Amino acid sequence: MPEIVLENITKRWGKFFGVDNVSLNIPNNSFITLLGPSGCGKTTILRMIAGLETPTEGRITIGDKVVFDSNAGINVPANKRRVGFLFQNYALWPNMTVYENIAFGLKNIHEEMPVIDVEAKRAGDMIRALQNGSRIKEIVEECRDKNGKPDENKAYVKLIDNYSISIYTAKELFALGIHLAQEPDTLAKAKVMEYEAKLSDIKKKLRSEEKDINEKFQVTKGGKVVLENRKLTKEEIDARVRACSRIVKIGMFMDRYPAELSGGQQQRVAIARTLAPEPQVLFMDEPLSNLDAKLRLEMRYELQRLHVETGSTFVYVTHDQMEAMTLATRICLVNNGVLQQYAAPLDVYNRPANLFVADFVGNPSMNFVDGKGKQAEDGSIVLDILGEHKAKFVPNEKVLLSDWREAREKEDADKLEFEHQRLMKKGAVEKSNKDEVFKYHVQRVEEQDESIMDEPVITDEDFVLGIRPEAIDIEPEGRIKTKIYGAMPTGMESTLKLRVGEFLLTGVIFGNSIYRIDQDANIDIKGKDILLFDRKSGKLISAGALEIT
Amino acid sequence: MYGQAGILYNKTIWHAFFGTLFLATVCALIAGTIGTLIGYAVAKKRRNKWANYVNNVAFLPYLMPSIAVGAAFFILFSNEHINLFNTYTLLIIAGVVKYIPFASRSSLNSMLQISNELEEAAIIMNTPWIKRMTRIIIPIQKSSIISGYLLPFMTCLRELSLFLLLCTQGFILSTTLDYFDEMGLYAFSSAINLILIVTILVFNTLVNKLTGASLDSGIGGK
Repeated sequence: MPEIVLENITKRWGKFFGVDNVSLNIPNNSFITLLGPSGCGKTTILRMIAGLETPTEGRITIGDKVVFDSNAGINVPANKRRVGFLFQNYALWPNMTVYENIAFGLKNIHEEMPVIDVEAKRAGDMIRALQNGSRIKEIVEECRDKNGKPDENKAYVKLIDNYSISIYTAKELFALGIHLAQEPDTLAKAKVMEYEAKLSDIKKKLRSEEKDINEKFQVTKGGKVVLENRKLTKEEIDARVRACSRIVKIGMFMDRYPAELSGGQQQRVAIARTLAPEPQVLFMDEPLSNLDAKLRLEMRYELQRLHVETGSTFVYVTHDQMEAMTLATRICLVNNGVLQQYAAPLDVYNRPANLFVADFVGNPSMNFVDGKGKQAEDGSIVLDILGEHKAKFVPNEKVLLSDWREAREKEDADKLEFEHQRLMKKGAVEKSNKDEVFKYHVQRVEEQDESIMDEPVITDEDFVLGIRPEAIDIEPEGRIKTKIYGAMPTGMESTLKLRVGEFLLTGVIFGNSIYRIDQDANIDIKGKDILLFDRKSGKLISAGALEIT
Repeated sequence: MYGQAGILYNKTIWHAFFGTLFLATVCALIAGTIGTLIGYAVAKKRRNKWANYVNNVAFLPYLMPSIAVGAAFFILFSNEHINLFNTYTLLIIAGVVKYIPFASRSSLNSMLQISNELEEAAIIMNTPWIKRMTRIIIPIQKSSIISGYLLPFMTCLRELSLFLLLCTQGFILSTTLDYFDEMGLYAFSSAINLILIVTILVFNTLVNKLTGASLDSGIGGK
């Protein structure tokens, strides 16, 4: 089944690199989110996989089929890649009803599939539905309008939902008039007999041609299902449209036009339309960004459920880190067209690869604290932080800073060499949107205008500590004396801004205590998930614990 | 000259009337279709320099006086090698070239309004181009595309200066009108004028009623 592999994909427009040498492996049946700030190239990556955009260089494989290869000159058009795409603004066709929107794609399917005996299937469905006559009567009775007349269209939808049948079968069932009979069960029984006779007639006829039908009403020959290159029949299209609309609960809007639906309903129609042709890969481009907060949460659950139910591979683009964290099996963070980190959500949260990832993921954002210091003999690093405080950083695993720096320098040199090699090639273009080390933000009471300050000289002794707000805890014995600068209680937790000298730290304290502004508070920094970054390259050195001395 | 049959009994006028109708219909169909396709193509590849080139060339005939276009076609198509003078073929060629700008402009505007994603959604579902056009693009922009057909039709019905040099007087209605006018039969020319106006009004109303699209609500508008 499909696994999507991207190898060295680059997309540029002139000198602007939208996507820069991205390699990605999307395993089958996974839910991947492409996350990044707006304009970072995530939608472009998605559109390139779907075939709506042509990469400048690289190779894309879906399943065992190469769909794009710049060297071999392969470019399979979007319509042959058999993927589903959910657009940000839904792109529902305004001139068609909901039903037509969903059915439209199904009419184009032309592939090898089992032959189904339509008559037999209909008879079979009728027999199944007719087992309980009084239930049918109940269903139709529920659909009476204010004049007491049964509303036919409503009844059809109810019957379809109850028995998973097509509209044609539903009409036939309704026309039998079970709901009008005094004793619906008896009438239903009689009708069942009729249909069983019909079914056995069909079977007899097929057997005379040395064929048979199985329990799915597929025609078999010699015990094997007969396959044929064919289009879907009207019945099958209807059944699939109904099935998809049942998943997203839009059965009652089938005759409406998209303009007559709310945003959330339109979204669900778009999902149903994408699901109907049963794509093995489903691409979604910020599908929830147009919805209100509550509906967005609800749809998030539905998408999660859909992923499990359909078993397809989902690739999802979003700029909302919350959405990415909650939905994905793996997150792929992109900035300025460059892949920053590709890992499971909690890994991205706990062990961000660099300052950009650390800052982007998490709400409220991580605290960054500048520190200056050296590694001691025992592997710990003693740092001057927050003005007058001294802290000892104990890494979880042993790192030798000199080795780490050597590796970093080698990596940088390799990268430079690679870039140099690339530019030597004919037709190579320099990247105009240069990659820079992420400018992290240190919170201060008086914001400094960094643009007018001199660039600080960064040595190997400069580090950045990343402290998640939940690592900060208020304790009477805490080593750092702070004043509460701002407090936002939400009931479950309080987000506090704490003032340490000229610096500010954000902390999240669970429980519903009340904090007064300007109240004194002593804090400690707890846990083994404090992150140490190299200030020069912005890369993560290690995670560890922090001891304030 | 004098002693002409009355306008409703006049064979020359009726012949010219049906000639005009035929010419206008064919011109509108061809110019409208080509114009729609030009609009679609240009809207699809807006950044492409060839698209701009096509767009400008299609608009060129609009900038020239009709009589000059007529004279150009007269010289081009009635000489010792090809002689198409006084045939519908020549009139249709001239008419189509002259009226493509109307159709291409109105269609370009409407195509630009359609979000690209509407078509991409269909492409992903393996819908052939012809089906995308007939089931999605054209129905959505129905009214402005019909305007693209209607404008050439209306203009062609009353066009005189373009066709003046290309056919004889009894061939289409406007040249016939001009002929009677110059001969001093003002009652005839006025009556022909009235026929033209009534025809245009009838067609406008008909299309209006049938499709919901109309010229008076603007080109490319709803």
